[in-house]
Amino acid sequence: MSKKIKHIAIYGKGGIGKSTTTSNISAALAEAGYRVIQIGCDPKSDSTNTLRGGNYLPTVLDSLRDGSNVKIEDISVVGFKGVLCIEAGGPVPGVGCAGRGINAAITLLQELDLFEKFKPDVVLYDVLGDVVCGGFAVPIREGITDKVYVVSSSDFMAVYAANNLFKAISKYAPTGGAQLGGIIANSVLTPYAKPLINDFASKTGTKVVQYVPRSSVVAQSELHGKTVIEANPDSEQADVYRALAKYIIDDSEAAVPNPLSVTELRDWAKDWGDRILKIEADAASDLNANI
Amino acid sequence: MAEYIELNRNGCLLQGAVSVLKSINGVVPIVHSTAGCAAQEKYISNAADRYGDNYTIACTNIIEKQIVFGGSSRLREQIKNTVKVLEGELYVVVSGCAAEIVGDDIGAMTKEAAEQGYPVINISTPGFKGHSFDAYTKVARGIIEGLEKLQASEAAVEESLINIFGIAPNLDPYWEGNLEELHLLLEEAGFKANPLFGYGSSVENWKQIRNAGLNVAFTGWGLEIARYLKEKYNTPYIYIEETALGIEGVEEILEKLASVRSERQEQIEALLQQKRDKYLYYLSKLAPTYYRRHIQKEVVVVGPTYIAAPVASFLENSFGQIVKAIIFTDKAADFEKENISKKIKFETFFSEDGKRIQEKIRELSPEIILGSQLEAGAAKELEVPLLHISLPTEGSVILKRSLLGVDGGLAFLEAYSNAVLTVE
Repeated sequence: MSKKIKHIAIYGKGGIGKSTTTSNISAALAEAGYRVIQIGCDPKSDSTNTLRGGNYLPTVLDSLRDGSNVKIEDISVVGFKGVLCIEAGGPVPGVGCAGRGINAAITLLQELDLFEKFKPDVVLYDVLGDVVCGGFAVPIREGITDKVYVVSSSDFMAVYAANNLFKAISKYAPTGGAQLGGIIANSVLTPYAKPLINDFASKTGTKVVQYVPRSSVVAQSELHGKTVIEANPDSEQADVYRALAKYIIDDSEAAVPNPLSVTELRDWAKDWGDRILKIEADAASDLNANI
Repeated sequence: MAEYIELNRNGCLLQGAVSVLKSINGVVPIVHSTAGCAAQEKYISNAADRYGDNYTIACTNIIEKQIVFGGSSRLREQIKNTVKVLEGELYVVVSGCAAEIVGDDIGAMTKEAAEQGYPVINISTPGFKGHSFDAYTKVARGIIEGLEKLQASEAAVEESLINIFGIAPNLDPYWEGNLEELHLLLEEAGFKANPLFGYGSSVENWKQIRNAGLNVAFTGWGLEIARYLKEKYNTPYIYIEETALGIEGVEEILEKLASVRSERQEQIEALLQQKRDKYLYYLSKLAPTYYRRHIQKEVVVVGPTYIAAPVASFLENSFGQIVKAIIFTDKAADFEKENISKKIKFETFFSEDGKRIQEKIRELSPEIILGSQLEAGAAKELEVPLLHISLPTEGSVILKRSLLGVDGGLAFLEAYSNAVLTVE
């Protein structure tokens, strides 16, 4: 009997750090001995950059465009510690349908028997997180992934995008779609960031699975074209990613979130708008008291 | 649960657009959509149209590649090839659902072709934007606007030139005969008709639309275009809401013409008298058979509003038939249904569903059915004659028969009487 492959989708608003997070999870899992595939599901096709040291990788959709008889080798590259890197790719901005592109790319990968041939332990899908149309929801629909994590900062727009994703998950979950594993809180820096994300998680019936602090180690590693795990393996930040990766591979908890309605989200945001100044002031006075 | 529709007879906006475009001589439609969109039109519109089995429609046949990456370059290629292999004076790109959802810049492609000297325009017609009935005004306006961009000459109004709008090609089995009948009537009244669809139509005639001295509009579709042209070129129009059959229709058209062309009043009145005489002469020839053989029957009329309503009125008012009910088959919003039902004195039903229509007919148990080929089952079951007045009319040949005018009205009464007599 074949082993059960974990299919995990990681969503998040553009620029929130989901590719960085996903690549570091992949690297940490590979380092721990797992066979990993990372599939970038974003037309920008830069999800796996730091895993493959800048090696050229034609996207899945490039092969669809050329209409050639495509093989897995043509659209994948083995990166850091054996992570198989794949980019779905997409049309140039403003043309065609990127959502359909994601759908077509995933279908093609299934037709190529990618998972049967590579036999991974885990497949990570790094997906553009605004779920603007049905195409971007393909990875969470029936039979593709089991679990979804969402990367969010404490910025309202990131929370808003996460809430939209929750709507998509709760729509598809009853018909066999993926469930939510939790929130990965990224770029946690300000004093109010943790309580704000925690509050959003509890309001929507989920939890924060890891707090990833903002760190210049991440920027430094990325500028070298590498993951933190590869470039700064001994850093604290690397251990944060290792802990996150361990949680994701071991964790079996998942639930269907309860997204906030538009008005609930607005009221919630307003409420936090009033609270963050107070939290900052309290933090400042604590600091003064300690001096 | 949403209502299901069995035996649907209505197409989408794209299908309607192709149906209308292919009726204009010199116009070559180019369908920018998946292959099935180009093929389906054939099965919906009249099988006896001029394309017959030599059905050639240019289509981009887009596939997933064009959906993901955009289909503009496929369209560019298709335009380039079509102008080489299909002869035409005007190429009209009509867009289907997929291309419109993806947001292909179709206008940029047709503009590019036009800049290279090819007469190519585009009309946005995604199937999801409406029914086939909505296509007539969309296409007519689209061509008028498109040609304006392509032509340089100045307008020169010719007072006696008349455009007719509202008789929709291939959405009505008798459209071509009806149009020809109306053209003849206008010419007999001293005007010059500008054929825009069917026999005698040309792209040049479409360029002459702005030079007309008057527009004659039938139905809501025609009115919409007439209003548009009034605003655009200040062309006056007369409006005939319901295209009445027989002498009543002729009277209405001629009286309205006389009201806006007082200088021709005498000529028009003389023509009207002549028409009345002719109509009554032949009608009186039918009278003995009508009474002797009891041609008065109970009838159910099935078809879209623009055909079924005037046919039913004509049969009852001018031919003494008993209209048991009209079953309207076009998709109408609820408020429109109410308005239509209020205006019509007959019992009315609305359904797009072939099976429900059949059940309704069975319940009404008429002595004759006027409808489409889809009512053949009901006619057979009730052992009553069926006359085709609405699409589809598979199995019967309709070339230029008309329901309008004196000749059209009489031909219709002839066919109706023969259908009744054959059964007895």
